[in-house]
Amino acid sequence: MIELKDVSLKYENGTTALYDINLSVKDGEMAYIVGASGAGKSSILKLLLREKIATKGSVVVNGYNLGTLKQREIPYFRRSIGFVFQDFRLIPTMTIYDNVAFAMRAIGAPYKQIRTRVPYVLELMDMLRKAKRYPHELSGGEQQRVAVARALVNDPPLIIADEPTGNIDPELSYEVVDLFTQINKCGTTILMVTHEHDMVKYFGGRTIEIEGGRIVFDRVLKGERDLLRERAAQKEKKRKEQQAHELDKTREIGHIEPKPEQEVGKI
Amino acid sequence: MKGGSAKYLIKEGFRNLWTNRLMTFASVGVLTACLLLVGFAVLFSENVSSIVGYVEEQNELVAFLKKDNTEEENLALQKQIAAMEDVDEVVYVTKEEAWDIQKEKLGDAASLLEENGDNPYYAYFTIREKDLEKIDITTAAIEKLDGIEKVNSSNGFAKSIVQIRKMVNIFGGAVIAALVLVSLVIIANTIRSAVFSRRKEINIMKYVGATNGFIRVPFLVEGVILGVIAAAVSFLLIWGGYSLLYDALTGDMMASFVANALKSMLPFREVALQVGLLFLGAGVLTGTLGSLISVRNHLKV
Repeated sequence: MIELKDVSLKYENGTTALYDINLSVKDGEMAYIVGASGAGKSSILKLLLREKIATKGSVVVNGYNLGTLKQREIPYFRRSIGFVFQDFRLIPTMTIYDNVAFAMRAIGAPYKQIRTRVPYVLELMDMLRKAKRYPHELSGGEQQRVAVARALVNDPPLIIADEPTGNIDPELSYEVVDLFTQINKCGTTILMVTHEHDMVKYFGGRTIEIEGGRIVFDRVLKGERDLLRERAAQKEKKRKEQQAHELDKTREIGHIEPKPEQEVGKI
Repeated sequence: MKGGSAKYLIKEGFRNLWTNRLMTFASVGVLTACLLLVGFAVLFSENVSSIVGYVEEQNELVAFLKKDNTEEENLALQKQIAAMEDVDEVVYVTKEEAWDIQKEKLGDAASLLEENGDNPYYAYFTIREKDLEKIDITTAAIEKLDGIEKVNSSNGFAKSIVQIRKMVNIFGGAVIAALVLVSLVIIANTIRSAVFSRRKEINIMKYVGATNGFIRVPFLVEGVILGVIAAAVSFLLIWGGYSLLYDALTGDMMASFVANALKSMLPFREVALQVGLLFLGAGVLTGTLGSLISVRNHLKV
């Protein structure tokens, strides 16, 4: 859960990045933060990661009040969040497996648990077959999937993603965001910063727009994907109705036993 | 920290040494070079001290006794001088002994002296000083005693030896201090650049929620290993180098006083333990401190 109340952020050099931000993201939500570069997106992230402390107002993330959090408590706070970065931030000298396992070792997870959990998460991301490879041997999309696996491995209640599609080919970008929507369906709160409006339009969801350090738009948008799906579902429904109707007709004519209904492929 | 986690972190330290082997090599090289320099400086200064000590021991006062002293008077004088504060040892050489020593030195020519009949020699004391610097005072004190004819002392020589020893101590100390300082700066820089190249890694660890302790341990392990390797390498090198030098300088090639003085050069086995411990201590200390201080700069995220 994220709760920002009247938050302002002023940098040491005197520029004010955020003005009186009020933002609340509830458990299980998925929200996008959009805005042009320089609008204040990364400033919000810096507050949420406790890289910076708000000059005014309160920031509460997963029950931690970041304004009063002690230096030595920061690691424990960060364990409650999974981060995904634009530049993946995998450790280049470690294998894919170790990159993911590392996040568990860092929090002192028992060896047995690491050995079962890491392959499981890698398999979820379809990266298990490349577990022994090194990050530079993978494509951008694959590296980002590893980064997502790392964010997931400790099963955090919140995942924060900073431009996760910024360094990936457009087709793969949709795949990555789709991953996030699926993770969200399993109950994990997701906050994703992006500047790709098209993608947000396609997937839909709560969209928060920032401009000049202020929130100018905060609403749930219906995604094109959902519209398309709805349309497809309607078409499918119609087709089925028609089929049933035709079947009825044939039964009436030829007294043929009805065939078991075919499994219709899900989208 | 749990056992499994400690094992992992130590393994991680070793692995990092190998994955960053270029930086490892550079660090070990620099550390070894510095240890060698300091080691040779220490050995040099120790040896000069030892050699000067030998020369010092050769320096004696000779006090000639009046010819009309009785034997009892001489023995009493010996006791009196031996009781002086700065006197280490007094050896009494009687007239006859002096005569014999001289005859021995002269060999065949001694017969000439014997023909003359009378023993022309004085009985004398050879006196060894505890502290060369006070040789003046002792000489004056002995000269004042009744029954002493004359005191011979190589005063200037003693003084210059004292000077040499002082110079060696001061100069050696300064050189060693300078070398240690320079080494520390170089080592700190080498390790800092090694850590700097891994700041991203440290940064990622911080975001994943690793505690500072967790991040530090592998670097600590690395520092210790670097120090031990550098200490071992420089120990072997200095062993070889010093032994060669020792053999060359104490060999039979040279005779005379210089050779005798060089004989008091310390053989390596006498200093091996000291040098080894010095290297190990200095290596491990600089390795770990260097690592920890460099890592600290990157932990503030």
